[in-house]
Amino acid sequence: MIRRFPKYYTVFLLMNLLFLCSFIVAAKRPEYHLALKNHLFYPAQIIIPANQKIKLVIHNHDNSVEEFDSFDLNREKVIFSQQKSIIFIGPLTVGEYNFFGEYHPNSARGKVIVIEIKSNQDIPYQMLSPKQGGLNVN
Amino acid sequence: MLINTVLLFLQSALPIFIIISLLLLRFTATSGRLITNKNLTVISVLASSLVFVLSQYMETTSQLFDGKGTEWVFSLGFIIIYFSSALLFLFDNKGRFIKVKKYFALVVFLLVLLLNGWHFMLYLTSYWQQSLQLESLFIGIILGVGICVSFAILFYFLLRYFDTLIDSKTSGYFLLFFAIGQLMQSIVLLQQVDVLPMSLLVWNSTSFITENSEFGQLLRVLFGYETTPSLMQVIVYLTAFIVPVLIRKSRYFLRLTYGEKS
Repeated sequence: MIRRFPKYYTVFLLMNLLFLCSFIVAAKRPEYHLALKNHLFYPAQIIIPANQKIKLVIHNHDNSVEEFDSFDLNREKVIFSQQKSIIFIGPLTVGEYNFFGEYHPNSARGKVIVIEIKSNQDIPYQMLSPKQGGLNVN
Repeated sequence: MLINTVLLFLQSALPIFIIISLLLLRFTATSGRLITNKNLTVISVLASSLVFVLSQYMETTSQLFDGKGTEWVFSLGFIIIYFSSALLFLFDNKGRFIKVKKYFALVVFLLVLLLNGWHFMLYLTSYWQQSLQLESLFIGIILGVGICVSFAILFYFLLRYFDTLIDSKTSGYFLLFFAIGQLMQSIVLLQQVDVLPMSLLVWNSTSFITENSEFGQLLRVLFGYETTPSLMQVIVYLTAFIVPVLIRKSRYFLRLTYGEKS
């Protein structure tokens, strides 16, 4: 069956193109660090603010390759031995998001805890503590 | 370890077996012998050699473009797979554009084999170097191959049934969905390195079908299923489906491919 080319077709395409092209913005992101040692993540929990994109730097101190994987965060990144990798996560709603090392899923496990932060004063102590991951802005 | 190997094998190898089924059905049974056994063998050997060679440069590639090398390379590959498959979907007419379709089909097959093989090779070499639980690795691969081969054969005959008894274009639509699934992976990779925006998640269906389950992996390969898609992924998914379908149904395109008069 032959149909006419829909009139709204061009508008639909243009809207999508605009949507896709309008976001390439280099913004400063809060930076968090995660280390992998003996197939364990340090820290195993990272607390981050809700509705904000963050930069996660993962250092692999092991002598083997690992893959950072998270179905909750929709992220997958190979980290070679003695190398670091960078991924961006968020903005996320309040909740807990699990991640694991795909090659050692039984030991390399951790979670990102997303909390609501109203202002700088409300940032809990754990967020600034090295045990819970550093909070730096580039 | 065993289950992990099976899942990783499914994740890496299932797309290869699915695309073999789709291309064999779409372009051997219905459009003459476009994809011959000889071509498939040559491409398989070529892709396996390329996977082996590229595996030596994985680390270097990952450090390119400020640590975004892997994402850029894979995204580009997935985008080429989508556009090549979309063109195969559009130029579906049996007797026309045979040579063009043949090359696009081979490009799709080569890239699917290359990108997925690269990922599994990494896992394999990582375990090989550590010499840990090689027995589980070996059994996991055999189980994975068994599942993939069984599913690919069932999938082939199921599509053949659909094509014959329901609609001859069914397998064409499956090819498009497969390609959209590949395109979704490129969106995720580009969002991961902050090239594309990451909007809020539209839904979370982890409680229904988890992505790391066997069924989740199957849906992911067949339809690009995501448990936690972002708004951009949903928009790109719909666009990537609607645009080729609209083009295919447009009057100008029908004239071009079928030579029909309106």
